[in-house]
Amino acid sequence: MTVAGGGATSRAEGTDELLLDVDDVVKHFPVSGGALDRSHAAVKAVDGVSFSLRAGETLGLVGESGCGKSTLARLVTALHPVTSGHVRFKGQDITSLNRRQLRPLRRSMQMVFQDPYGSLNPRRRVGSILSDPFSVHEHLSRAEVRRRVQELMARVGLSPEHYNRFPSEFSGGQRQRIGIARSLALRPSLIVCDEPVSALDVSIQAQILNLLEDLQAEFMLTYIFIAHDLSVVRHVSNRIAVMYLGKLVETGPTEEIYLSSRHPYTASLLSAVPVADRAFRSERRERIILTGDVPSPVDPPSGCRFHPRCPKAQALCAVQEPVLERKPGDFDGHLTACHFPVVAGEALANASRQTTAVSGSGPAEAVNP
Amino acid sequence: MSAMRADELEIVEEEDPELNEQQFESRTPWRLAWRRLKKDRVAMVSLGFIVLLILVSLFAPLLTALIGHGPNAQYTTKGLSLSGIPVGPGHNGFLLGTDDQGRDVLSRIIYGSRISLEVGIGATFLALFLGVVVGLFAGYYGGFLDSVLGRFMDILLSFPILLLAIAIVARFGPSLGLLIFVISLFSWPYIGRLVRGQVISLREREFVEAARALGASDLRIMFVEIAPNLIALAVIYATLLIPVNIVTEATLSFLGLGVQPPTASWGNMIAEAQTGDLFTVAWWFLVFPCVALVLTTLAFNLLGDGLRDALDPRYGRSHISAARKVRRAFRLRRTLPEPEPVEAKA
Amino acid sequence: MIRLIVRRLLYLVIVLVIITFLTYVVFFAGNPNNLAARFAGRDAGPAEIRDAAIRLGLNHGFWYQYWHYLVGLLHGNFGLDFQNAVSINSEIARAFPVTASLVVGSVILWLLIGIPIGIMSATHPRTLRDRASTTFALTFLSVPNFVLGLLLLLVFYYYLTRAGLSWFPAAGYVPLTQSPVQWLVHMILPWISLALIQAAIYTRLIRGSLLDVLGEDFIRTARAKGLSRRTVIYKHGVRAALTPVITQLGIDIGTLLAGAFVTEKVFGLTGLGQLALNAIGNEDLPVVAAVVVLAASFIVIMNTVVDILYAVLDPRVRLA
Repeated sequence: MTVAGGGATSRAEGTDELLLDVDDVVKHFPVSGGALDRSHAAVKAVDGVSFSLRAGETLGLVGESGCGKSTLARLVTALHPVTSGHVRFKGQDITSLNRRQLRPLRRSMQMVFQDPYGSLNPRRRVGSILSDPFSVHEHLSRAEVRRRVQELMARVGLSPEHYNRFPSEFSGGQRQRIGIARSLALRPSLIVCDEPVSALDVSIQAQILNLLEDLQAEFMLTYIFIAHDLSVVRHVSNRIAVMYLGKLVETGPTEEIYLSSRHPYTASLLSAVPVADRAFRSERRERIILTGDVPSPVDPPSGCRFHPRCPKAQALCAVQEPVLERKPGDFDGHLTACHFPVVAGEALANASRQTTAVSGSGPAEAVNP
Repeated sequence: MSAMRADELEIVEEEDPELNEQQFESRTPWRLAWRRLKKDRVAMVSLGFIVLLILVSLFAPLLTALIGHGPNAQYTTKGLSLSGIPVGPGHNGFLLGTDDQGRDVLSRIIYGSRISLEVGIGATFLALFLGVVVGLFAGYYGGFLDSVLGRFMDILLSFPILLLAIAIVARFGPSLGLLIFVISLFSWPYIGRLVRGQVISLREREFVEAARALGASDLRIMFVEIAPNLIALAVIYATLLIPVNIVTEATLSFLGLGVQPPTASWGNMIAEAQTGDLFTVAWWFLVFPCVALVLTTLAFNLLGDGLRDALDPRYGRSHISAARKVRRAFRLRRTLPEPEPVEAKA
Repeated sequence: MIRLIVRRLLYLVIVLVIITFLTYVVFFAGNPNNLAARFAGRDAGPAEIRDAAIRLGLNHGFWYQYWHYLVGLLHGNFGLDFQNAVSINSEIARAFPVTASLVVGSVILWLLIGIPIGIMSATHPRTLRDRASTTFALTFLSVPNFVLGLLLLLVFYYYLTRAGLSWFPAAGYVPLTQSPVQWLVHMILPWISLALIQAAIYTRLIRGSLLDVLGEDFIRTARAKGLSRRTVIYKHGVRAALTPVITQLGIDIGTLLAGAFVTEKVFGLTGLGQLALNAIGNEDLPVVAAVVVLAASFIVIMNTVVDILYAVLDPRVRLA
């Protein structure tokens, strides 16, 4: 089989070494409805997700807020225990490990958080925050720790003299650099970035994204890059995975997804992306506007979870759950979970209007404003 | 933001109380709190009084030597009138008069401040230690441990402190150490519950998750990540707990269960003034220890209030905004909007 | 609702057992010979001490003794007084009405002072009246109640009497059944000294609670509906704001009872607190234990009542 790739990208495609293998992971959060509530309801945050990642790759994970992508990130980094399924990191199943056994693995698996304000302890100085990785994992002299921390600060573009400042004395972008420095400290092989730029100004987003890219090249990093915005992901990812209500609905090489997405949900997300790039403008379809709200993950729709909002939904979709599989004509590695995948040139926007009339729900809503 | 100079900050602060939180964030938390506190005149006066009181109690022997009257010396000729009545304030060199045994009330008040501060501050520190540790564990681990510790604190809080103090002192006999122990035993749950609540909200913050992602142990997360965020809360409520504990000590001593005579404590001085209705002939003997006690508790309460405003600006602001909302709700009646009153600090 | 009540009652029983157990351990666990010797009196010989030990049940194991004590308590029997060898029950029966009059009267007084001032303060935030009530609250918050009591005595009893106006008696207690007027006159100063301090706390509590409630949307809705300001405050606001106050009331019963004991000493009222203090002076441990058990049980029971009442008043709690 040929290596997947919908077009030549300048970025490294990753090696053949399998770094991460996520196998049918499920995470249900029990809903406590008080002592009188005897029902065993659960938020099905992640409901059977599988994917794998090779060293050096960047996987973009996209979906609306509440689709379970942040939970998935925390399952992959073993911050939450899985309800079922397996996560193998460098061939080792990390879902069965206890905290003590996990600790050595933490060195090679780090996370950058979404909120640059919440993820840094407001009562500790930056130098102290950045020395945490060393004091947890290594026994170094104070001078050595200080030297390493200042080295890190310089590497992510902060001035090392600000060692003694509190996080509140930095701007959002600078704080996110601190967060990146912290995750980088122990030279991990995998960094999960949970919407690292969504809290930042657009002008600063690009700086942070460039920094992440430089670091990837320098330290041979593998990224899982989470975003709710396809345009951000496109710049950094080799591959994209689209999530909807706890499930992957489509995954494939970045350019492939952008040029010929097969799932109606992906298509609708893409149609909401403002296109500045001339090359893509010709490909741009009419804007698809989804109707209704995201259903509750406590009680997801039957069959295909997207069917109540899908412009192409038919009777089968409500009954049978589609499998994530390669559709005819797609490259290997481009998988879609849909009974009636989109074909090139199809006009979904018209179909969408029909369903608006059928469902009769509130005002039409854009997925990504 | 960090480039903004200090004098510019001042101006912003004067103009818009809503905006300055962000501006304030660009300074170290402690220095900002101190700057806010310095503006609070009532709190600063209280702080001054407390510092003075601490100095007085530290230098008690020196001060009484200067006055020339020891706290327990009985001046039967100079300090009592011929009929055995205590000498009033200002007579025979007794600035605040004497008590029924001819002892200098001022010297005794000075020595009594030692007891009050020792017990008040000592018991508070002990309570703080217990409360923070238990609150940290209960709040951080949650679940069964939390419900057991939470219930335990609830039970202790619903117990009448004084009653149990009575029971314990009755059984083991009064002593200063026991007094501190008993008072802290029943005041720590107060801190413990506050800390627990705070920890429950802190443990969900991303920086705790970040520490976990680094592989930090629970103890490290509790004491390195969470504990520094509790300092403001602990300082505020310790300051408010000190006067409570001082009053408890005075009350126990008043009931004869605390500091035993002849050692002077404000509580037992008041009790001595009450025996045989002596205070009706010698009011100073009652009034001056009372004044000392009330001023001390008042100073700590006012300082605590000021600290709360200074260290936790959200607290003060929430009340201001509540007041604003009320006005907004009732403004429906009026056709013309009333001018927004300036939110002056009380 | 019923589940909640059952759970609360179960909790109540557990706490009561803990209280009696702790009290028993504090007071009676120890060297049985000491206890028996104390009971038998100063001049007792070894035989009399042994008799006393048997009468007190000290020859049995600890758990048996505790069980015996608990059964006695359940039958309303607090045991015998060491000092006078009379039944503690009769002493408590004599002291109880005094403490009860003190507590009930001051609760009424404190709510009568605290609630109106709190409401006024909240409905006129940041005005002179609000400032004044804040000052009132902070001042009395810092005054221990025995200090307030003694100062009241000094001013209203001593100075008034010396000025020829003997309106207030010095001290003592007159039973309600004997002379209602005298009872009232004797209780006024104790009530004030207990109630003012608590009232100060409650003005703050009600102010804060009412301010929060008045800031909520349903109040604005009620105003927008065209209800008068008065109706909104009193029918909607105050009702909602009083719920947290009721919880606090349950918690404060303990403080109040302790305060009552101190006030008794100040005003020479022979209530439960005086009974306990005298007993401590005489090292009469069973009496102290009886008062402690009684008072603690009362507090816990009051807390349970308040919890249940709270659930009745606030529908949100019912689900939990």
